[in-house]
Amino acid sequence: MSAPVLEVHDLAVGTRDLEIVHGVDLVLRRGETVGVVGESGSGKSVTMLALMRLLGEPLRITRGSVRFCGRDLATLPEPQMRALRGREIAMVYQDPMTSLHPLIRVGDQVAEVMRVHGVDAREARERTLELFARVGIPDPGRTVRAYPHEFSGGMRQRVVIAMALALRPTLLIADEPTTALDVTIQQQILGLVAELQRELGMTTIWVTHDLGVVARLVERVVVMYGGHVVEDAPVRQIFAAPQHPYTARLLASLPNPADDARPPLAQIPGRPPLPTERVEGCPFRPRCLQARDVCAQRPPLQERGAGRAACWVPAEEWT
Amino acid sequence: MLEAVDLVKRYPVRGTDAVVHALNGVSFTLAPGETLGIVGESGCGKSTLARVLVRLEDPTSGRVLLDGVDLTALRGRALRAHRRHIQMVFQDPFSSLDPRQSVGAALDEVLAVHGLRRPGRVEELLDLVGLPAEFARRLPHEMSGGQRQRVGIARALAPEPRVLLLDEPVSALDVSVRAEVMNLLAHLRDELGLAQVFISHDMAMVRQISDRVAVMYFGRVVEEGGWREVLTDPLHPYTAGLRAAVPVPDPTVAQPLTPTVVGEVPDPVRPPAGCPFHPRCPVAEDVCRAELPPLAEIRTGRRAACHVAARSEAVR
Repeated sequence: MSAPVLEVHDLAVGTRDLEIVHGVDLVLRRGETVGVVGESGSGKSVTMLALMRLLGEPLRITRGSVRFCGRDLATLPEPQMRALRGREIAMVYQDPMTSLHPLIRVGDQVAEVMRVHGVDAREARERTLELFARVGIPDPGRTVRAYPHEFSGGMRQRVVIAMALALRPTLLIADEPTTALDVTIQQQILGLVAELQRELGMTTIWVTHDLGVVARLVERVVVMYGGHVVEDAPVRQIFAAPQHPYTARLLASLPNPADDARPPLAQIPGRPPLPTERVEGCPFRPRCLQARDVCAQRPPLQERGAGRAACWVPAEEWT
Repeated sequence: MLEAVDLVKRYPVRGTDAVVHALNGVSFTLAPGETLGIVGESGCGKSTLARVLVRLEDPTSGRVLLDGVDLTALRGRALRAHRRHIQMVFQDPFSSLDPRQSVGAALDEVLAVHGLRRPGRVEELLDLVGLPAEFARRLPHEMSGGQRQRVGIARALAPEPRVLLLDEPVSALDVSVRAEVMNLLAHLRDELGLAQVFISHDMAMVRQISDRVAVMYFGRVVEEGGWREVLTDPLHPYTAGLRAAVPVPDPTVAQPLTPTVVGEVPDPVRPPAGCPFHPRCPVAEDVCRAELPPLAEIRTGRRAACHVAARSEAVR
């Protein structure tokens, strides 16, 4: 197995008096594709922003370490962090307009990423044309001169991907990059990123709430709930034999495309905890059918099959 | 009971002669207790269709009939009286509720508008959507997304409609609360005999609830039929491509990462000649670039608007 690219240990994020991500552990090996799955308020996006050190006030990293290729990003001085962002770690967000300036031509924006990191103007221009062709934007010679508003959502996201890949980053963090897109466009973008990833040997984190995207794309799944990692396992184990009751209930609530009887969907009573709510012990306990007295204490991630789960009750003992 | 006849909606582009072709002739029928799923991507006209059906907008041409009465011809009091029979549930329950108004007050207001106030009716409506009576005192921010959508449904039920128009009713909800809203909609259809139009881009949810499915593309219905037939054995190449593009939540199923539908939806100001899907279609022929295929019954109980499918069905 290759060396870890990223080792996150006990990473906590919060404000002065409120913790919203409660000690995330995550290891990514070179070339690996990991899906981070969770519902709103699960802390998945905040965790990714923390990795990039892009948390907005008043949020900050309150505990833990983020080792990336030998450096601790949690304590790295900002100038070095800035040099690393875009070059070694790139991020693609759900809304491409988060990353694009509305008044600058799209080609210039892609070239600028390279210029900032020391590529000369001519080479940056040429590489921009190549990148546009590579991400499937038609007629690059003309379209580099377009403004973002002249592009469809799918084309804008392609520009953002071109920007993210411009410097061949070691790690790509994609936060719901296709959620706002139509499924046919989503399929085009997923295929594109999968192909580029193979070609460049990139390590990739996909943040999504869509279990279909996860099944199609990733090798390993990290499930977050209420600011905790509750399960971390190979994708096939997650779907075939989930080891955390939340993962199991989430999968059970999806319609089964093979069942023509279409029985009512399995419901999960209650709702996920709000970031402002403090749940003692296991965050899923109030909604969990397997909960026991011991669940009043927070369960650590422990070995379960080929992965890990934060549940006191092994799946064999579930009722 | 509900019938849409050749609905067309065009919007002028300000300051030009150009026209946006939003609906290009949509027809369908809906029986009591039946759920018609309408599936399509952005720009296919499904939201415009919903707005025209509830008369938030007038169609450029075409008619909406409810029990034979042409709603598009009604004005004033007659329109108001008929309008209550078709009610709409929106995608985002939060934005359709007044943040300072309690659930009870919101429901009472709708009842008052339609002259349907009576003691205990608010509690009845809450019960109908599975919420305890004490929810009448709650404000929108004191509820979860699923509970707010239940309130959105209760509000749509208040005027005692015969048709519920559901525009992406679970798309904004977390995965773990979608199931409860889907189950509630199925329950209401079965208990109250409500007819439903379920509009969504989510094929899994459309499959879960629909009796019949209509697939829309570029302002037209391109395929229509029973849910099982349309979704498992599509006749139109767009339906087939769309279905294959939806990621299946099962890692043991081999899924194509090469696009099954290439390119993007055409510009609605400049519709392509012939079949609007031909620029993206894997089986397009010369006739598809020249002639618009009609939506025709090419197999028993199945309609599709495709020259190629029509020919191969004729051979069968």
